[in-house]
Amino acid sequence: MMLFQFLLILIMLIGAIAVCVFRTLINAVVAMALVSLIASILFYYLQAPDVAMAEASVGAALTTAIFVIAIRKTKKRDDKG
Amino acid sequence: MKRFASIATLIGAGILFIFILMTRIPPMNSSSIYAKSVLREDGSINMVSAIYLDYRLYDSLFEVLVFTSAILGVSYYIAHFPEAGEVFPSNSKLTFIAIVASAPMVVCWGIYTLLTGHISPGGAFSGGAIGASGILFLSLAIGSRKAEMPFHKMRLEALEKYALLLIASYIVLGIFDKGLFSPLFWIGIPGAFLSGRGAIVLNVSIGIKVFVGGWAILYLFSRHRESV
Repeated sequence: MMLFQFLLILIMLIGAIAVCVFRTLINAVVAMALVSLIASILFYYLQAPDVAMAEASVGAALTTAIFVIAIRKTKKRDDKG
Repeated sequence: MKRFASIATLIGAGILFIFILMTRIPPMNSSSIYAKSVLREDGSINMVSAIYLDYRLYDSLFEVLVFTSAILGVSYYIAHFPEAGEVFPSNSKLTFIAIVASAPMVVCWGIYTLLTGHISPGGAFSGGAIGASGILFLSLAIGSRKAEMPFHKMRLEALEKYALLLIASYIVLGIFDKGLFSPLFWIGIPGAFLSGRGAIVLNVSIGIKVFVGGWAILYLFSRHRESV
């Protein structure tokens, strides 16, 4: 079980770094949702199901959807300078 | 589209109904003095719910008031920005079907979470947020204008104000009637759906507040240009 948690934390860290590294905004948002989702699984393992539900609904779902809407409403700039 | 949505709503409502019928969690056999006193004093199985709806009810009240003023502020200031049209629905057929089929179930799951907040994990705030996420996903599939239509038709903004009034009057009643959680409500058998004194009433009103507030902020943000 400990190994599983280490694995989750490792994926979470990779996701968090990926948010900064990805150049496409939508990919970064998906990576951010992954971080939230794994955080909520970890909360559940740490016996805080209430916090896990709040993290999953707000962090993984609501924030992601708002970011996707925001990205869809903005235009991509072509100049790379 | 309507067929998918109605089938998904039916499935979601069915699952919700079955869950509520089957919900009967035995009271915990903990030797903890806290668990015992929570059971005795407010009949709630979920200690978190007992804390935020009973022992720290003022805290929840002010959270709700902060949320209300945030919604009022957003609605007031965003009204000055020009409208930018709607968020257009996705072109992908697969996304459309997946979202339209799953969003009503997400909303039903939110309703279940807030209805059973006193006997299982979850509660009003997360239930309301889950419901609002469902609507948000729906607006990605069918466009924000269609998703906000029921908001005006069903006068949900008024419902949100009534919910606040209900929470405030419940708390005022509680002040007169010794103990914030006690007035008028039957404690029930701990673990049954109808237990935990006024937990369902408070959870539903706070849940409506969060759900409608989230929905309002969503459509205001998605309609006005400078806001996103």
